[in-house]
Amino acid sequence: MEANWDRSIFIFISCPTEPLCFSLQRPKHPTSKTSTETFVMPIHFHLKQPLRVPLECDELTPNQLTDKSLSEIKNRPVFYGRRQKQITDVFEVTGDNADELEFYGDLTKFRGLGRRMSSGRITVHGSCGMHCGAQMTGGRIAVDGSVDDWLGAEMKNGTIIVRGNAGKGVGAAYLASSSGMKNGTIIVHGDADQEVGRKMRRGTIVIRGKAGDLAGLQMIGGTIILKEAIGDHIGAWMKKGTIVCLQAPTTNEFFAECCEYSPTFLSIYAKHLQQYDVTLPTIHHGGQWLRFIGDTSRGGHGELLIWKSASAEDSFAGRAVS
Amino acid sequence: MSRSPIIDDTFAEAFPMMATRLIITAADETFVQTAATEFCGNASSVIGCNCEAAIEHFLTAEETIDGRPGVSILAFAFDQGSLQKAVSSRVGQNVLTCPTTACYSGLLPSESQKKIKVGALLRYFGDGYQFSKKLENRRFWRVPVMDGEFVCEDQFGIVKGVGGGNLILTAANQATAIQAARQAVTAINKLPDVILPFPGGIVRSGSKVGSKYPSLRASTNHLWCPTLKGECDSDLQPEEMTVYEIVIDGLSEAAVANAMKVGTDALSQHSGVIRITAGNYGGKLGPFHFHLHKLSN
Repeated sequence: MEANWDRSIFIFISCPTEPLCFSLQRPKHPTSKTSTETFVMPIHFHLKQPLRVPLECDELTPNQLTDKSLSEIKNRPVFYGRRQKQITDVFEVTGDNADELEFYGDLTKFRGLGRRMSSGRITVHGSCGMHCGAQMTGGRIAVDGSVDDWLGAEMKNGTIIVRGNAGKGVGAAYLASSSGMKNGTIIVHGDADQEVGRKMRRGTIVIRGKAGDLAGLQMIGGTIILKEAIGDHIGAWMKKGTIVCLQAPTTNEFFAECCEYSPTFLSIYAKHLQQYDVTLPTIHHGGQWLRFIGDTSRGGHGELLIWKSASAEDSFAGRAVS
Repeated sequence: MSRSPIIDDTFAEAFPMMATRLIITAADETFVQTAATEFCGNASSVIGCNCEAAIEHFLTAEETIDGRPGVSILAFAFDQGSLQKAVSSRVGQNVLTCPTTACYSGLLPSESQKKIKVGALLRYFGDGYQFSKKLENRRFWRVPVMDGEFVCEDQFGIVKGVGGGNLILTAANQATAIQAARQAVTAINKLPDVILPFPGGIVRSGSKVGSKYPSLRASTNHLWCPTLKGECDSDLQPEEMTVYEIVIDGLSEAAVANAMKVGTDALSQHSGVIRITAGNYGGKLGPFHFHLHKLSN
């Protein structure tokens, strides 16, 4: 018996490692199956109307929803402003594979999307609010638009990819917290505001656009890669870790110049980041890296690596053309 | 008139060993070859060396983790502790010292549950100036040296491998036997997950357990020495004047069995080979038995 298809849905996946688009044919009755295959669809959350006040729901993560039926998911509580509502009051929910969640609509007032998630995938076809992916321990988040402050704050593992811009505190520690992100990867294809990687301990952050002031503030470890113009006071008070700059930042007397060389470990990063459409220069491209150590005002042993191209034309700085 | 060699109805007896794979990269193929050769030196047999090691195959820049030319090496030892000691010592003395090199684990976490410390031990050479970098679930140490940094992965995965698979060939003279042995070595060297740890992959001094001298653990396999045919109850036929052995170590029983099959096929195609056989201890010591007549299965 053939399923009665209504229309094709083209879903654009923002993650560069996925095919750019694929067609899903959705049957009229979600439970319709062919005799030989089971059709499984990600759970779709379509915003019913624009959000007027902040929305929070820590349960909207794949690991929390994985053993729940669609009706149970629809009845889960959300906090819309001061009021507690149900998910179905805010979103139209369809689908049956809780390992993959897809959100549609302007979610700039949705705070904490993907917070503490540990597995699965979340895709946001729009922009997203604060604390996106904060404290996550695994899984993957992809955002088509921009995100607000505290993207991936204190995350322990996982991957976050943002096509647009990010606010303050990417991968950072919350105030009064001793460390920021401890592992994982954050890729921001647009610009980022201040304090990228504040107190980060480990992990990798890539900002393909401009980075605001105080990038790498109080860094304890990890790697920040900045491809375009960088604000002031880069690496202030950093103890350890690496900030890789493809455009020369303004350094001060608290960063001591060491040498020019070709660090082998950056070749590892260059190859690893290719899957995220991020290119780094390697020894094959000529040029060298200038190494600085600091922040010496705090006895820090962090390093600043600044690309010094051999040729006038340098194709590594700047964001990708989408 | 050419004839197929006799294949004895016997088996090779092999033993479990702990094994690891290392990837060494460098700025160019010359230093890759140099580092690999130095690492694999004095690594023919655990009878007298601290491990058995040899080059598995060379890698292009596209195949390595850092995009530079590289080589894959397999190393084997009796147990995890011995393997760790041998590998970390060899990397420290022969790879770290070689210009532009870096060293990584060749077994992914999904392929091995146990690990040995390599970079975790060598990092101390940095005298406190070393850096650690963690990328996803892999940690790398960056040790400052005079040409920049030596990068070495913190821990290397290990697996239970098989050591001591073997093929023995006989021929009417040395030149023919060498030619045939090299043919088999060339064929086996194309296979993944196996190495031939002896010089050129060929053993000329096959040994037996024990000796008339109490301090020696092994001595010449006198029953297979052609010059002693008249002095002992030789296992050689009158026309057999030269014997060579090919010892095979592999990451799995299947890999060794496949290598033995490929080697047997290569020897069978050489008209100068009189007999193909294998060495064993009556089946009482090693749990892995590779029967020559069953290799095609």
